[in-house]
Amino acid sequence: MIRFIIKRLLSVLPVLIIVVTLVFFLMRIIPGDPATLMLGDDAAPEDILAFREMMGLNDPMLKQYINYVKDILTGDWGDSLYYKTPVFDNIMKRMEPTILLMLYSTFLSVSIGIPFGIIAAKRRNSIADYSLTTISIFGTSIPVFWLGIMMIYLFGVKMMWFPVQGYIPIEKGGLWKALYSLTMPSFALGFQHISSIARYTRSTMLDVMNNDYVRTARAKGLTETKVYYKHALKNSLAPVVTLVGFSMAGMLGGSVVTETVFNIPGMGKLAYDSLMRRDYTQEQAIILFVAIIFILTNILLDIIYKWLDPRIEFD
Amino acid sequence: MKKCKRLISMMVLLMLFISTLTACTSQEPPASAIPETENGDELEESEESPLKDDRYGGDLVIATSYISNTLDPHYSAGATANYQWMQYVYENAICLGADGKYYPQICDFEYAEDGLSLKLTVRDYYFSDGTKVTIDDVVASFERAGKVGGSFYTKVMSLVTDTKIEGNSVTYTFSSVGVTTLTEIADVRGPGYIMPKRIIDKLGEGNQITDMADVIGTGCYVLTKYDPDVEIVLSRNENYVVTDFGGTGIAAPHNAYMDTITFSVNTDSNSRTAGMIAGDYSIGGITSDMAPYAEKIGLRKHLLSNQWTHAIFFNLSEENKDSIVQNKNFRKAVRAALDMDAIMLSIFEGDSTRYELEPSAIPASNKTYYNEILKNADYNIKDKELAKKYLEESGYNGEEITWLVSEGSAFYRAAVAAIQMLEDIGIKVNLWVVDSGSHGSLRADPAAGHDIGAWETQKAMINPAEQSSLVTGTAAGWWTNDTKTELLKKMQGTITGSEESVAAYKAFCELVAEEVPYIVFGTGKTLTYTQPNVELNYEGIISYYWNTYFTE
Repeated sequence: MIRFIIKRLLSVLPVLIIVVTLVFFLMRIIPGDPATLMLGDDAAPEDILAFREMMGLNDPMLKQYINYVKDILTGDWGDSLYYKTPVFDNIMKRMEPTILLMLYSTFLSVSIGIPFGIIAAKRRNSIADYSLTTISIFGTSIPVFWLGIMMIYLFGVKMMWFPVQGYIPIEKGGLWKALYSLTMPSFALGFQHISSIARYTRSTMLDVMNNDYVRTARAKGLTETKVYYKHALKNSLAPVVTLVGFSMAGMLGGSVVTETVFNIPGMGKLAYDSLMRRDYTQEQAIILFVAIIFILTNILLDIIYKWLDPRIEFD
Repeated sequence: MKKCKRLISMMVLLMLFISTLTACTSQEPPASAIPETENGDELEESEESPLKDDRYGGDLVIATSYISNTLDPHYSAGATANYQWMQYVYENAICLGADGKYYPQICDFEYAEDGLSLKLTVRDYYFSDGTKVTIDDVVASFERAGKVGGSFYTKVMSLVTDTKIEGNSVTYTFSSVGVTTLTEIADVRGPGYIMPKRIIDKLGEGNQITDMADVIGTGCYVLTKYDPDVEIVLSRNENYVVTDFGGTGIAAPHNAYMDTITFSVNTDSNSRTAGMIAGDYSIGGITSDMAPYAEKIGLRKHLLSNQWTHAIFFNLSEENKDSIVQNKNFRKAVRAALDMDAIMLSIFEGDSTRYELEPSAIPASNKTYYNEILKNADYNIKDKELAKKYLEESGYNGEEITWLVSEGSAFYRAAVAAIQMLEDIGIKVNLWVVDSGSHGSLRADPAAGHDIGAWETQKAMINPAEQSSLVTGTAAGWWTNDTKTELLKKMQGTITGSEESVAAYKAFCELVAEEVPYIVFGTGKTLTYTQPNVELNYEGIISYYWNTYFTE
């Protein structure tokens, strides 16, 4: 397995190089000058020039790129143009709510989506199935920000069940308070994924239920519950795991909107703010970091496949 | 039907399970409402205040969209994100009152009648760490603020030809009259803040403060937590001695009624609104759609007359030399066609209480400089016939002009309203909408391709020469000519309030009325909301909360 992991890691190096290069040049192609944005409208031209010089922004783009790659290779991700603090430290400071948000959303979407999918498959063409299909379509259609705002007004402002904004760090209030403050954002972020996981589980379950070994299990006189949960479910989960993996990656992207709507000081909000103020170094670091997380998640998913289906060979 | 009921029951149970997992703590106040110390501990309830006044006490939480980017007062660049908290921690040598008069703060001052020297004498004043302020601290702070560059260098230190220290005093001699020198020194937005010389020496040349322990000022609050994109917490400076020079606004006594002031960062307007309604914040904005609801539940609306003008400029640069906007009659046609009331209503989303139709560069309260020249120069006349006449004289032949705005902004709303009016007289306009990140630098680039750009700027309080739209390239659309240069030179080189200075400003207004390099739509007011028990208690054009208190 170690050989497999090393091979996978080596194979993603070109992907990372492409990500680094694309992000570097795309950030500089879009209009907007960090010096003007950070120093403000009334800044003197000489101040803007001095700032650009200090940050190395006056160098030719190719030189800036080579310097950037050299720094990355030596483990120096650079300093934020806005905060003047190491970009990696800024990411680490913002990691906790984002990771927790992603895990909590995944937990909600899996723990609600899979049972819903199973129920829909078991009660195929029943009212339950149709209801879940309707909910799924609704879930995939509504945007995160809309659901977020609706939840804020309903569960936050009106019912006062949850805080309307902000995040309580684990260090300050413990894990439960952190999760409590993330309940609405996690549900808003995970709702789309609940729907897609439920739909996917339903269809893979229905496929599996037609297989010979399920028929054999039934012929052996096993209860329906055993047939479903012991024989069918595990085999139908492999494709669902793929979807969960992609969902997690999607949640990292979706966290930009969710964190902004719910005012959570996470990585997504940092990415958005950095883009708005053209903080090149910070934005590059966040995208590179997310790419690495995405790659590692995929490797982890491959390992889970193997666990779910021992017939799969690592090579 | 039975199956359906079971399914619904299951779903409800599942939702209840998730809620129960977390909602058991739902009655506790939200994160932003709990004041805390630097290490995250909640503050203990303060003991009975030694101050008898029952206005003392409480924790004020302000929702802000601004993210501070430095701990260093001399690198604040006058940005709202920085001065919104720095003005509580640091103070200036002198202070500018809401009445437009200067008052002592850390220093007593004597400004020569000819404007060529300034003597500052340090008063009996202390930093928050208990050390006494010396004249060396003042001189070192001025030098450092000047070295960082920007406005403090241009308006103050570049004019200094001699610095003479005697006892507790320093006398600066200036090479010429700087009409904005005192304003810059007194500007509560920085960067002329006074900090200890020992900190300046410790930092060395070109280094910024990065350690919170080095944030030491003389202000009525001290910085206790700095997490710039989450929250900034200030606590009352117990070493601060309240002094009264009879000043108004920012120059009035700083009482520091609140135990703590927290700037809670929230960049999303909907989220800020929800936070205000839920009681997370004491002070903050409300989106216009939620304003009636907010008022219904008792939130108080405050209109701050902070003199922001909303304007457009024409790109008169060399890079845009072939554009029709270079023609004076075309610009006059635009001015004659515009219905300023409708435009200001669009900017303020239908709220007519939030603006005045006042295009002057200086508030009407400034009796020395205020005049109505721009107000009487085809302003808000909505005369289509006159506009068409000007247009004909300009030789306009239907070419499209480009109006640059940022998406979803007041600039955008103003442009949408104004373009209708221009199309009514036959002007074709291409609305160029960009994101806010791109907007600032595109607008400042004369070769970006825009014919019209939008602008917001705060009026000058004392001398119109401070007004950036009269002076800087971008705000005036890179408009330049010998008469303008001559008049600006007079305005900037003569003593504030002198006959020559007032006459130069009057002539300048006449020139703007004739050449129309920019058009001011009107003057806006900033809307803010507070919880019912918050008494803002301030006056002037810059918000400050050291005299704000809870009524219950």
